[in-house]
Amino acid sequence: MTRTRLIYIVSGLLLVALIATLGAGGGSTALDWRAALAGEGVDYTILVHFRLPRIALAALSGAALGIAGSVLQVMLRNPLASPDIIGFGAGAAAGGVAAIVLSGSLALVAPGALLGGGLAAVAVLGLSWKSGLSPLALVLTGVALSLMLATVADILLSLSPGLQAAEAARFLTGGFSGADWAGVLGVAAVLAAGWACMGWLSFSVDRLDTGDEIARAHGLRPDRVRLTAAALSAVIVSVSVSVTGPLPFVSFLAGPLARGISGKAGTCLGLSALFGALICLGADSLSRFPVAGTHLPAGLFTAMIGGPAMLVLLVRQGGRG
Amino acid sequence: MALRHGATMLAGVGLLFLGSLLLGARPGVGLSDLAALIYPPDPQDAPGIVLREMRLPRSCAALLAGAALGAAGAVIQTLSRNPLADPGLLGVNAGAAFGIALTVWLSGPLPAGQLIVPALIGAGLASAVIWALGAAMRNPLTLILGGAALTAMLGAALRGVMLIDNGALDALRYWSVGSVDAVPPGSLGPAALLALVGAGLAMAAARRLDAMALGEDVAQALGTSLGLTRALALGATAVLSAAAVLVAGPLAFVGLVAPHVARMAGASGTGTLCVLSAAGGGALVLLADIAGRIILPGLVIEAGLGVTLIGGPVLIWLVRRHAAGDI
Repeated sequence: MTRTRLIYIVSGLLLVALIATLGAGGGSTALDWRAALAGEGVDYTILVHFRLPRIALAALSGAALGIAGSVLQVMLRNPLASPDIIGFGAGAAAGGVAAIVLSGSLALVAPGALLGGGLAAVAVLGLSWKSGLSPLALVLTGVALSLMLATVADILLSLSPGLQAAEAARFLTGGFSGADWAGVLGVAAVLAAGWACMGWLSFSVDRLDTGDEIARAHGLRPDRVRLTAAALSAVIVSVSVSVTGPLPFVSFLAGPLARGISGKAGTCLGLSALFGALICLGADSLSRFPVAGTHLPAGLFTAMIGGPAMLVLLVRQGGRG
Repeated sequence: MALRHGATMLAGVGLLFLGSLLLGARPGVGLSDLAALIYPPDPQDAPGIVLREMRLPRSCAALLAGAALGAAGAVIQTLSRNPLADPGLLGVNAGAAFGIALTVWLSGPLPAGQLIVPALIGAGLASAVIWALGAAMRNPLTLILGGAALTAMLGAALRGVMLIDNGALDALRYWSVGSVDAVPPGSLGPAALLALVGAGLAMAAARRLDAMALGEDVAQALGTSLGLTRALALGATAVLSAAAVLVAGPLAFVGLVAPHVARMAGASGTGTLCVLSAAGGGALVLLADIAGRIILPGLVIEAGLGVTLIGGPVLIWLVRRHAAGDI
């Protein structure tokens, strides 16, 4: 590990810690730190049962989305091919809504989201597969599928009776305000497992960057590596979405930021996770400030930050030809 | 060939319009009730009132929005030489919708005639942003993804406005999902006027676009101003989209599908393409709306949702057909 990289990571971690501390202190109720840390009264309850899980969830799901996006982008050699753009996120969201509407409770959201995300991944890969995986076809198919899945979620919403519709609508506005420790544990588990698998896979994915022929000469099977990485990415995104709801552009933005700032190519798992966490913590902090008397959900802020960032990236890419 | 197919398409649009008047949740509206369109029905005549007060504005809105978006799609596809371009996917519709929603939020409900201005500004700004991607405009992926980013951003902003202003939620929901379920009263006239202006711009651009199709050098040698052509074409797209959004909200995919239908019907020049696309777009939205009314009894699936469920597979099919990389 080079010294500059170490500096990036340490300063990034410090930034995460800083935003997290500020986030723990800020909110609609001012926190009395001394009482909270002494384990007494209301302040302690607020800190441990509301603020801490929220921050942990933001950091962990951001990190999970970051690595899922980064691997997919490197694999498809296109920074625009992230799970939230090619339909995995929309599939998981539609699956979660379907689970809420059909079962009438929140208990089945996670399996529903996993099923939805998995089906969306299969559909995108299957529909764009034509004697190999073409990144161009994959991205465009994913955009079309995302729109259709959002439509399906909308139809399910209008089919459902009032109470479930409200639950489903709340799920669809992604954010961290409903965080609890069970959700945090779920995301932490999938992050740990996903990170381990991605770490093992990232060697192969980075080799794909040199072109399929050279990768084959290295003894890799490019399409099998791609399928595994895509499946892994879909699982990570689905679990994360099932807990937080959709957070657009996080998995898209983390990878390019990590690579742009560190100046390195490849998957950059650690830095991508760091930037994913930073984006989510930042969006969560923004969502604590009331705008015209209302707390807007974090997913809204990630979209408002991510949209312009994507346009800038497109213009820069276009300028290079 | 184009003429015969064109006549068939126009007849099809006419039939769909008739179907849209006669089919729906309320049974018992028959051909004999069509007289209500001409003479005001007496207050006891329920089918006549349904026909005149509900189905007629709805069908006109579907036809108008579909035709405007179809023509806009034909223009933007020809200009960008990209068969996947569509004012809905590129964020032009979202721009118009956001302009309207912001105005409604800031100043309360306004008559439809005054909403033309924010719709035009929003659509114009969004097309300007798309044009700013101009250097990369030949790259189909860049254009579509830039549009997707713009749409997502504007959609989030629209949702933000809706969440802040709970009272206006119902009024504003209309501008986030394309629908002809509740056409804003008094919006058909101004929108039709706007669509006529847009059609004029499109016709003015059509001949120049034909010249540009021969190559930019040839077009310049023929005396066509490239800048003027682009300005006319983008202006036509923005104005037509604004007109469609004004009556039906942001409908995606209509501008994508309609020109392909028109090309299959044998349209060659840009002018013919625009006219046949307008017919195809009108037919598509009418079809989606009729299907949305009768598929699930007791529930209306908004036309925007139906259009997306038809258009999404078409986009995937187009991508598959062109997957060799020559999109």
